[in-house]
Amino acid sequence: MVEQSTLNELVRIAGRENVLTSKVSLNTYMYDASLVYGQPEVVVYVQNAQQIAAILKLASSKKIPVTPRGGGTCLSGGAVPQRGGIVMVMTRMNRILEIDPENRVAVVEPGVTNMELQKAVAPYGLVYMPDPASQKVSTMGGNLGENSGGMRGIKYGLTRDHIIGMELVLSSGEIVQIGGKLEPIAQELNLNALLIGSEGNLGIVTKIICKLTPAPRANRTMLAIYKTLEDAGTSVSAIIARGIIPCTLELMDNKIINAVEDWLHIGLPVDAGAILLIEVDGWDAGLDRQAQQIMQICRENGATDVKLAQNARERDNLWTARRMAIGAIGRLAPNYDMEDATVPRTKLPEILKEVNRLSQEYNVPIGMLAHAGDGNLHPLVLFDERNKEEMERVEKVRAALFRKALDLGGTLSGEHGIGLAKLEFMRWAFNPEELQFLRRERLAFDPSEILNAGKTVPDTDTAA
Amino acid sequence: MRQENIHKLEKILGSGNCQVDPDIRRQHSCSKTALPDAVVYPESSQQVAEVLQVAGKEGIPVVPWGAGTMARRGLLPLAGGLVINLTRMNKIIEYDYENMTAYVEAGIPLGELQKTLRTHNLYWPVEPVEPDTCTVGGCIAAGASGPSKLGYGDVKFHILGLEVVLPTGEIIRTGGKTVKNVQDYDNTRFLAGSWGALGIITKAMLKLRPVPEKETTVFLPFKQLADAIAAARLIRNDTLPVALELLDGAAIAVLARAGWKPDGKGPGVLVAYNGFREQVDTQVDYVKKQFPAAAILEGEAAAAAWQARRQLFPVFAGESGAILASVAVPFTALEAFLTRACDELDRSRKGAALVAHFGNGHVHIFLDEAPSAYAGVEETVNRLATLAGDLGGLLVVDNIDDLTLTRRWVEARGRAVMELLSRLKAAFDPQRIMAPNSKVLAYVIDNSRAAS
Amino acid sequence: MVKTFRQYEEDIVRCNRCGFCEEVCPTYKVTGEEFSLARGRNRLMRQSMEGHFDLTKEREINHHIYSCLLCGACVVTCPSSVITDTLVKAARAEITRANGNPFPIRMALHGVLARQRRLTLGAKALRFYQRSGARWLARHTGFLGLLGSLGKAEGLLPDIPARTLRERLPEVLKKPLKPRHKVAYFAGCMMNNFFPQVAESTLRVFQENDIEVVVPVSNCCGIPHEAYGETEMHVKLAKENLDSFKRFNVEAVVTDCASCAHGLHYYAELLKDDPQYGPLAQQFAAKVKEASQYLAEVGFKKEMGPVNATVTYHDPCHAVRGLKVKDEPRQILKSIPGVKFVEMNESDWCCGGAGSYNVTHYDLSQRILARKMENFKKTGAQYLATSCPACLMQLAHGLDVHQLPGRAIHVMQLLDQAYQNRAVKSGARAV
Repeated sequence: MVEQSTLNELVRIAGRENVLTSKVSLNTYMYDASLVYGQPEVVVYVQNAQQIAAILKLASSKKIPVTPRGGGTCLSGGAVPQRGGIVMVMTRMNRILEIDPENRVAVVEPGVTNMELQKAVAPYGLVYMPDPASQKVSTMGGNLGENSGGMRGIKYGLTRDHIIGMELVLSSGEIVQIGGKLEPIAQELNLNALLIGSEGNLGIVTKIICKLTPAPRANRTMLAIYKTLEDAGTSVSAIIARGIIPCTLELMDNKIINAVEDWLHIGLPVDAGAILLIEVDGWDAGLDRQAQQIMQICRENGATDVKLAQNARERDNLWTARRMAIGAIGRLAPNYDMEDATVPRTKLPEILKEVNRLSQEYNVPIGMLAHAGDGNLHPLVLFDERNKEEMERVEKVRAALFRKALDLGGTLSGEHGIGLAKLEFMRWAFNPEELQFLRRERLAFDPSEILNAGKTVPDTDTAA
Repeated sequence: MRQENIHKLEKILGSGNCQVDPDIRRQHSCSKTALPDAVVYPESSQQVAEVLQVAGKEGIPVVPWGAGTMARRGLLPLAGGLVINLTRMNKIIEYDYENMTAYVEAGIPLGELQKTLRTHNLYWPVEPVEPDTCTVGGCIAAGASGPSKLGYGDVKFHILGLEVVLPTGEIIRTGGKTVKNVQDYDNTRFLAGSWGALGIITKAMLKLRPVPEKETTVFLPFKQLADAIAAARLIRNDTLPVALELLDGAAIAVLARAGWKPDGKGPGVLVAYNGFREQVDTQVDYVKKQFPAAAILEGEAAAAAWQARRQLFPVFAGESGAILASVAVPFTALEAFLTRACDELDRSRKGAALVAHFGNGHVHIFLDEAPSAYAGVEETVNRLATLAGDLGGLLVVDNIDDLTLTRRWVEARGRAVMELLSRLKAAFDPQRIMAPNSKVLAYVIDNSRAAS
Repeated sequence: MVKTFRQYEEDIVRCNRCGFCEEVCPTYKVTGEEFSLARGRNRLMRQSMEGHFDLTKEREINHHIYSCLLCGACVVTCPSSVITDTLVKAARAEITRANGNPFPIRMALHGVLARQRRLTLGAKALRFYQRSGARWLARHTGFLGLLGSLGKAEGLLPDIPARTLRERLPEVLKKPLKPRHKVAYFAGCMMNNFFPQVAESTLRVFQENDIEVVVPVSNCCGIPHEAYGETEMHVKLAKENLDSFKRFNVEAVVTDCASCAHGLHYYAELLKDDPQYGPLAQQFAAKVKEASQYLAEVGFKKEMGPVNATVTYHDPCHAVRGLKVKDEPRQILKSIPGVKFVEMNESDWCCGGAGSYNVTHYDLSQRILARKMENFKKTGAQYLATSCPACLMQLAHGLDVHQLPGRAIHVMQLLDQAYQNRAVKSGARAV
């Protein structure tokens, strides 16, 4: 698909040293953090919007698929070039262009990592609220493409609530400005909303305008221990029903507790069915009362113990289990996969039960982590990816999990995206007319169908 | 509209639900002279779909309608076509208070909805000008917001999913029931503020909030505008108000006519705090310490103040009408804009009034001239527009038919944007029947049917 | 490292490609390239193991395997604790076994570093080059430009002193009147030849603290050899050093080079399956201490004169991750009166020196060094202290190239100065 003349043109646009075609370099651009692979035909490192525009114009004229890539930490295959073509590496567009503290706005290039932005605005007493677990390494462009969530999502919202504009290159090679620093006042269609979470299908972002929030002044952290997952789930609902919206409400199951305890020996109760990490933040006044209310609710709902951190060090300790959860579970098997099926909060106990059942039925170990406040489940499925037979069982578990999530009124993905990893299940979530409509929308942006081709919305002609 | 089409509609809806009476048609229009040919009242999404299919085949323009409280803001006059009134579709399909969601039909009036929601201590934090009669669908299509958008954001922050009937007749669902959901492109929020130009919202999954433990309003009177501005700035930087409004002296005078008389004649600042009582009290105490003249309002007094604030423009406009211009500037430019705008208005339009959603960088300017006599204020408006532009913002006039300022703003985004919007419109509405008079796309598509 | 490359299959498959190493891998941070990232190197090694590439023949893979700093930051951050630095070393050993190293490298490793007399001869020749005018010529005629990375790295060389540490020992070594402890000092290649004045400070400090020091004959600790996959020579050197040190009855084996300390400590792992040297290596390794680590353990005199300066500290990779020595050097610095200690951002990031990396990969090492210099600048400190001569050389070069006001110095030098200042009545004498 990519001929020599195209390669020559790419070299002319990006510079010889920024265009890679060797077997070895292409091999390292075949994956992201998901389980899917795809081989690119050429890898190009880009520096600015003009280069991207020229490359897209070229690629769309020749119908060459283009896959933009930031840190390649996507969990659904968003950075995998499944249909070959060009992988466009954005990591060198990594400048923070502007921080405007009183206007509470920052402008960044897409290759800036989420954490770099956090660190840059912290001295002003400001926070960029979305905090995906990958924030130290995932890039803002990727966060935008996937509408990344994070633990603070339940209280402070998701990426879509904190990005107010962008500069975008369309597949035709044209550069447009979407949204802006000002709160909208004119009668305009909200293209900004449509683009966030569009998984690189509608355009490639070259500048991102972010909204900043004053940092919460204080917090209180608690760890509650339960005999059963159900009790933990009921507590979650009860806390929120009281009108308290914590900024952190994380659930961990017995497998995770044991994995962490085996590794770090921090005194976690290995018989506990679940633990809840809860944090409330805001003005210091009133936080104690909120914390007391939460602890009481936990106890009323079956918590066998509730700890409240008295200082920063204790807070750090309470966070250990959550922070090390993935590392701990990752030690139990060669490989793990983290899904993100999401259900309405009240259905969390039910789906947790189902996950346990599937784990036993298919003999696939699964540790459970959840952003309990918004029903965002993260089953950590353990396996050895070299074992084909085991992988088949893993696939069955995944399919059953998505089926159940949808049946409970939930969704295939709360924050990781559809990409390639959940493409086949889109037909369970949407009827043919709805899928066709999404395809039409996408075509309106990208008539040449090159941007992250083959992802997010299944093609018409593949079997249902 | 041809009689045979009326028959087709009556067949779908029942004869009582297809109206051609001139009074009814006038109630469903943005002008006294350009009226729709008929108004229909579907009772299900299926009926809406069938109506649109007919309209598509026959090339009949269609405008969705709720209570019509904001129609003038987003629609141009349109002669002919069909208005689809959704108020018969007004049920709460599911109130899942444990999940803090409500799945409702678009035609339900907000007042009725909020009453039901409150039975479980929840509410939907969307604040249109008419919070009782405006429908949910109207709020969403219009991107409704009020002073509380400072604390909560506008309507798009409070919807999780929609059911939409596309102009091509399909009934599709967007989003879902969960807060975190990235299954589809975010059509849910894309359609918020689309003013019916892309499809008809028939149902919505609403994200609810717990009723705050405490709500307190503070009013600060000032003699000088500069002092009011400084106070508002301090309040926004040091506290977390849910609403923060700055009114000039003229606007304060209108407040009294609107039903709430504050102390003092000069400019004033109206702030709202809500949440847990300690956090409200801490902030209110802080404000009171900085500004001892502040008056604290709670309960009915606060409600009256905010009601008057919401009614400010209708009361200002009165019978003769008035022109509403809206400005967005960076927060840090507010002082410069407000000061110079007031100077300009003092010079050229003594009857004008000005109110700012201070925390959002938005300013509304009320000009004492009927929209039909826009030429009389055009020069002033242009000067204000230039002022806004020089400060990095923009000005649009909300209630005239001329969309030049908006079009220029959108064109500045890049030539490809207009073409993209055109293509998107075609993807949704290949037959171009959906609300051709919708301002949000009127400057993009060639609309030969719009009345002059 | 006792396993061969293929024996690491179970370790290498543990990488789940999460990408968390991107946060800390210096070569990734400065290039943004996947194959310059721990995850990417893992990928290539795994693909080789699974037969898609021939590790020993693919030049590009060789290039990426050797662009790794071996700083170990990825291992600490990895949620699955994938031992990438060990895997890279195993891959290098595999490559070296098949192809041998290029002649200049072999010459340096076998012909010079493994032969202390030749090394010293070489150092003296370099000193001559520096002082005779040859350096001036080389720099100004563009000759260095012909030598590629080596030519650029020429600027790294400190001014080589006239006498090595060993040559100074007769004046320096003084048995304390009432020794509390007895240790063997390991004189590393760099300390002995390039920074003997630093080693002198260390010995004076120890003797000041009533610690008797003996300095056995020793050969290179073997870390450079390990880095180039020269397993046989590595083992040979280890055994040679063990044989030499076993003749002394000491409580500890101390060195002021963090790299040597880590390398010596590693002998236990390296020789654990050796029937003859295994037990000896275990015993030996248990005694190995980095200088500040040892002083913190046994206690050191706090009666010092002031050193009035702002000081910050760079953690050598071999200290902070190799030996888990992090607090002890700081403890020493903070105990010096007059010192205002400030913590440097990313103090444990590799300086880019990485042994011979700054010679073989000069440009890349300088880009990594630039970040370190940025961080140093923000501290406003006058002294950039560290505990490894390789870092010392790299950091001094960085301060020079970036024209920063500040001096790279070893922790032992500052402590030595503090003790010396106690005797001086007024002010602090310049070190």
